[in-house]
Amino acid sequence: MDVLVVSTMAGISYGMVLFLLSTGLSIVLGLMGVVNLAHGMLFMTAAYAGITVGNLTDSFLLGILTGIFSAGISGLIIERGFLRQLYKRELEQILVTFGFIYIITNLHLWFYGPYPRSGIVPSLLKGGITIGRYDFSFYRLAIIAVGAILCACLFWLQEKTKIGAIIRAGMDDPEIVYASGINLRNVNVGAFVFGALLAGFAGVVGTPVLGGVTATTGGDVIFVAIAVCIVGGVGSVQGALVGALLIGIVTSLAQAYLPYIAIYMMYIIMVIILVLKPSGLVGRTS
Amino acid sequence: MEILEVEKIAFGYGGLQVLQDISFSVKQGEKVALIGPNGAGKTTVLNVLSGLLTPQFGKVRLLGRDITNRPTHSRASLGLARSFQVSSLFPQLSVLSNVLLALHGIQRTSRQMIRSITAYKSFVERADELLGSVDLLSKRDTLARFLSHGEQRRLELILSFASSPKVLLLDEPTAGLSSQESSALAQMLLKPAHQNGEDVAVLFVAHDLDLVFTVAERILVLYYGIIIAQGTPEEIRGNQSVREIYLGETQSA
Amino acid sequence: MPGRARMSGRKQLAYFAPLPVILLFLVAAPWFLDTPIISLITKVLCFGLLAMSVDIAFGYTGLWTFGHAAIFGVAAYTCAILLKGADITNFWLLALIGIVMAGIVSAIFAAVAARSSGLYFLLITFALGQLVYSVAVQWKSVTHGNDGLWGMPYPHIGFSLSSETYYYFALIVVVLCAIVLYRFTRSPFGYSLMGIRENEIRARTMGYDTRLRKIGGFVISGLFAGLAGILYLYFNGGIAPENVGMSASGMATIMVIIGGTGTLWGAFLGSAIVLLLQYYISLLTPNRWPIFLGAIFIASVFFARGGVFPWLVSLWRKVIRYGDTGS
Repeated sequence: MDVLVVSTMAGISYGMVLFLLSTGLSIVLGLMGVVNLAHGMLFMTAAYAGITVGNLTDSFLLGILTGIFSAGISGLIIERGFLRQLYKRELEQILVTFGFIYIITNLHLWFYGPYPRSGIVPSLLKGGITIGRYDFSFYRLAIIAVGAILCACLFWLQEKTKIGAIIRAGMDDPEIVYASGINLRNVNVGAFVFGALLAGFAGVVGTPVLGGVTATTGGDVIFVAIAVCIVGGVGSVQGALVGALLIGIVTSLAQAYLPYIAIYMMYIIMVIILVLKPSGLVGRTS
Repeated sequence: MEILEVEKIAFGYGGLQVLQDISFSVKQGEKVALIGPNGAGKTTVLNVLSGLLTPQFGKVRLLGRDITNRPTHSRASLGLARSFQVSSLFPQLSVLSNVLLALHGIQRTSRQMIRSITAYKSFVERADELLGSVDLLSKRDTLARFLSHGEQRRLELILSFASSPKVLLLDEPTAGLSSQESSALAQMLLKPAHQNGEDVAVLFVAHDLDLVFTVAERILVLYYGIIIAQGTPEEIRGNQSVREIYLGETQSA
Repeated sequence: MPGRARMSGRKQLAYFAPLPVILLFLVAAPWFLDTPIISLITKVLCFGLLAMSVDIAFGYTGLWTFGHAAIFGVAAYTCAILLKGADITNFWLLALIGIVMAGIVSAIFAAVAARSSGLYFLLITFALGQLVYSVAVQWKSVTHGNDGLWGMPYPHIGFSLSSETYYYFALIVVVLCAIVLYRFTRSPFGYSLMGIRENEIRARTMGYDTRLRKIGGFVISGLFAGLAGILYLYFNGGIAPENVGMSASGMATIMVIIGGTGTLWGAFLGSAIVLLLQYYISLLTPNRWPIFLGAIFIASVFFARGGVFPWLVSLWRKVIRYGDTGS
């Protein structure tokens, strides 16, 4: 029972990190139809940069900001420099972003070396809290809280603001949005960069949850992000949340109870969803 | 003999009921026109008949067999062929390949995984015959995507004729054709064209009233998903509600 | 062949001339090229076959597969496991079982993914491929995890092959496969796959069971991918997870795209280009090779649109026309 509760909590906090990572990918996929396999790279770049700066300056906040900034810049370069020319050419987007995976992974390996780096946990959030019989880590609780707040903000943005309406309309019928005089291209780029910023934030604060970052992290997390999009449904905050929490909790429980198949769980869930409900659990049209 | 029977077909999606209580039949060799204003649901009728859409209610029978739930490819092998309003070709394949594919679609052939498609001489001859009938023989080796609009429409039509169907569903066959080409098509439809000497039954959707009144033995008028009139051309011409609703809207015609 | 402009008999002969020349070169190569190069060519043959199989699924049928390396790997692992674990040494038996396994895995991939197309097909095959990769890494008792399975002897096909003669064995197998695949692509079934790629709905109204054909095309592709895996296993002396995962699948797809999608020979050419580049660049910078590989991916998208093979073909045609004084 203890294992169940602790694992579930770990799973939720992991899920929150996945949520922050994947929302950007999901919205961009739904809105622009752009497949950015290099999205995981943004997470990794931010993690490395943020942790390095954070350790150097002893400031968690500065680390977060650095991470966010580096992810945003990288995203902007990838989008403006390469992806904008491949509008509606999904296969080529996949190949180009795949190429970026190789390049960026190797660059990080070269620059930072092969050893993993552990994330930064600010002293304020170190340690744990005991509720009843269970021990919870402060940090993970904080992640869950921050994730929930951000989720609520994003959902509010999606449902209650003009920009959110434009983005949702852009997913359904871009032509009409353009015809209404709205420059959807700029909105798209904005959404892309915003997603990158979120991923960057996730990279810095999520590394302690993931247990560290290495040069392969970028390549590893993109799978999970894709799985989140497929399972939850592309193009919505709620889809990303559902997918992320489901994968996070199931993976975490699997690691506790069935460690041998924990790795496969994610793929198994993905395949099941693809067969039964291809548009995802909360999917808009696929 | 009724070759195609449609019974109380209803189709809708979302909040929209596109077709309601559609019932009619087509006899062997009969030429029936389906007319109606835009948005009436004419293409939807063809989609249901060809199996691209499944109706919520009703039955479709081909040669007495219930094909309501049969997949599209299965209906083709029973003798149902269809053309599309917007030319639906294989753009990166040559004109000849397009027709050969149409011919091989319903024929079981031996060694079909290993023998070159051009080695089936009778198919190639038949393909050339079909291409010749619409004056596309000279474009035999051109890729379909490089054809002019009119040429694509002609290719579109022979793709549906190619399988020597018993029932032919045509969606706006003369859209995009010159008046000369349109009358040539009308003549093609009036001739008995079936290999076995049987007449092909044709159900065609059209806005081109010249074509309709030249070719059709019977006319169905569809209005907002309901058949409001059925009858011979004379009967339809004289039908007051049809004149108001449909012919009346196109006063210039 | 349908779609090709008509040429005079002599010109047609000249048009196909490069083929026997290349074949002659490959047959004579061991006499004037060093062993490492012959080794490289053998590798090109194995991956060329894999790329051709990917082209069948991807270029001809329009199925965006990103998991073919897994099928390649399943056949190789099956043979390796049976050889080491079950002590089966008959090469033909091993190869047959390996290919059958590849066929089964492809059938599963295709059945799961057949309802989807394009991007979703890619993601499904990607996920399934990674699943296979995970098994290869995790199931240590059987697959030795990341170390892989090694110590494969050269096959005994009535007589024992050696590193010198294996080259010819691979060459013969690949040439035969190429002929079979070429004939397949020009057959009614092969054309129907292209039809499905071009316009699936139209194909259905013509009477083609497109779902069945997509699965069939994918399985046929998978059988050849499996054969390529077995060829590679014996060439390489072993197999490891890195030959099974997304990296390898991505490489196979890139080879097809660089060479020319839907041209079959282009896949071969793409394999040669990528592996040659890898060989020579790795000699210079062994650790930074992935950066170049990534750059190749990106460059091929922007510069090799349509592929290198069609470009070479049009060049060759111009040469022939120029040399022809008649028409």
